[in-house]
Amino acid sequence: MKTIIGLEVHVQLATATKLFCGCSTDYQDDNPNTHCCPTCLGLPGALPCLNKRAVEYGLRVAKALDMKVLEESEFARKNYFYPDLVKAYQITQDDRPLAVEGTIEIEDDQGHEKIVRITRVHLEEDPGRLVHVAGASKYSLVDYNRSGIPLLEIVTEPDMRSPQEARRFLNKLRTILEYLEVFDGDREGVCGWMQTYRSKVQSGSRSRTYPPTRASRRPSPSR
Amino acid sequence: MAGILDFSPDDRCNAFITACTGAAFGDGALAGIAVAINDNISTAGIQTTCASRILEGYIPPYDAHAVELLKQEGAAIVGKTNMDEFGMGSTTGTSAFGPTRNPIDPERVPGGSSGGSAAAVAAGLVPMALGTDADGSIRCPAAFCGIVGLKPTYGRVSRYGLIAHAGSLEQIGPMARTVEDVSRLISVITRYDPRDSMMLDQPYSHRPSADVSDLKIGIPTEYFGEGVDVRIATTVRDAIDVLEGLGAETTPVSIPSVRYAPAACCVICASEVSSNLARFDGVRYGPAVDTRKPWHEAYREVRQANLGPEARLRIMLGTLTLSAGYAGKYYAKALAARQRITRDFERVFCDVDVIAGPTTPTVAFRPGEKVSPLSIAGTLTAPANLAGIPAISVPCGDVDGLPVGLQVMGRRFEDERVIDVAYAYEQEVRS
Repeated sequence: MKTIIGLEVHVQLATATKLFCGCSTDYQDDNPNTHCCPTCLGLPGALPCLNKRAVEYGLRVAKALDMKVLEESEFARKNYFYPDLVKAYQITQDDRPLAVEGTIEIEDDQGHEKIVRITRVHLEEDPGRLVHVAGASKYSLVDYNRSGIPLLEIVTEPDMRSPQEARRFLNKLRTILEYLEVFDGDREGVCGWMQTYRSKVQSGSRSRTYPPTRASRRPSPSR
Repeated sequence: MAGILDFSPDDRCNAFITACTGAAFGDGALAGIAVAINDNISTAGIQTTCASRILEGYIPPYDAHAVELLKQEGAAIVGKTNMDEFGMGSTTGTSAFGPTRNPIDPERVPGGSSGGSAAAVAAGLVPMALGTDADGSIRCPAAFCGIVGLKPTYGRVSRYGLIAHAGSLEQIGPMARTVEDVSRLISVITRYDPRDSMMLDQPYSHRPSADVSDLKIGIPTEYFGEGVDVRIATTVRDAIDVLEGLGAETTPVSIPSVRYAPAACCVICASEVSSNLARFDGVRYGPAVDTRKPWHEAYREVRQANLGPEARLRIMLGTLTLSAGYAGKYYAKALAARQRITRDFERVFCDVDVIAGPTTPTVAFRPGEKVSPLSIAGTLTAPANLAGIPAISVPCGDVDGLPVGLQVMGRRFEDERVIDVAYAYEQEVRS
């Protein structure tokens, strides 16, 4: 039996404003629902307007990981119902992501050089957050401050063979993101970092947590 | 000279869902003019329902860009007009707040979906109104009620604040009794808005000119053939003769792909509807969900109870046309048809400046006479939405005392030209 790991990493990009509106992303110390506007609340009639800086940050990462940047990139809607999802769809990328086919070099468990292939990077918006108040079983609260925060999803091929390799990969990736100044590990209140592990025995079938659940969010590795 | 307009309409046609008895106005190009707004356009502080129970009681905290601009130019927003629920229909009969009647003949429908706006203008309750048009929803009621209505080029008017059911086809546009008023209204609402990514910065600043000499008008055979009432065809032909008399040159053209327009429009609309209407879940506005139930159960209940049958039908249809295994068969095909229609129009516009024909194949009918979305509605109007081109409907006579509309379509961003052609016709027959 052999462990095979591929990762989907969701990075909160360190832009000043959200992905499709002008609301500030710096809500860490503020009250719930204070960084909201018609667009990130999904009010009827509001339209998204793409944050240029978020695209630039995404492209920075793409160049750093030696990826192919697509000439034409496309946003798509992922339709599903959930109380934290204001429009009942998430604006994300499907067919034509920002960039494809990159690499990150790490050390394997024997100390040899190893290439982890990057499948794709794409931009998407974060949903709001459900708050389950202790003792209140009849309702949950929703905080939309996070709704519309830009995420860069980085997907790898299943190239890692142990949890230690995966950890080294994430440390390396984090260093790159911080060097590029697209990710601020200190700023995020909850977590700037979400990982979905896909691991399985060698037989080839892969298990995948899908859609990525909030439970799979973890604090950043270096903390 | 800002002030408050006292507005108390004698609304026998049920044109308004909400009337504002005291409407503030200011200075500007539209100072003190009463303007009615289709109820799917957001108005800060005024209930905006899209004629649906699911938005009953929803008061937007913000103005649509077009409404902001109207206010800046001093207009008095006097009310919100009735429509088919979320703009889906061509009779204003699917409204949750009861049908609107045609002021010309109360036994007949005013057309739709912007039937309330058309009726309010035709009945003389307001001089102008904003409608919205995804498959003919401005032009059809304009034709049925005997007024002027323009669907602008896609990208000419900001959709910010428009609660679109099919945003890739829909535009806000002016409706009024005269071409000149339509021109006045469009010149206010085309100012650039970066919040609509599909908008181009091409404001309309034009005074209508009645000079149509040297103009080449294409007459598409498809607009005078099967399914079009012969008396309407004759009336519209006569109207085009008037333009010829003014020096325009006419030439027969063919746009064979328009026969795919109703089906393509139906599939694209339904697909977008299934996604666009998903947000109405009772969590943030409108009738509230029962929070004691599991959320999916509560969602189902609130949507079942508050969305009308037409809306639910299209949501189900659109969910099918976008699902894996069917999207290629329906949605992708509809997009291909749309591209073909767009190209066909581009080809024709190499040879002619505008295309003219009837707006609707029939005059205003009685409620219940026509029901299928594919049967009649949109056959002659939907092509302009699919191609993104401007199209105006101007009254051009009547059949059995019911108004007939002459439709003039033009090249993208040549809204000025279709307005000029309609103006030339209107001036000639009025004088």
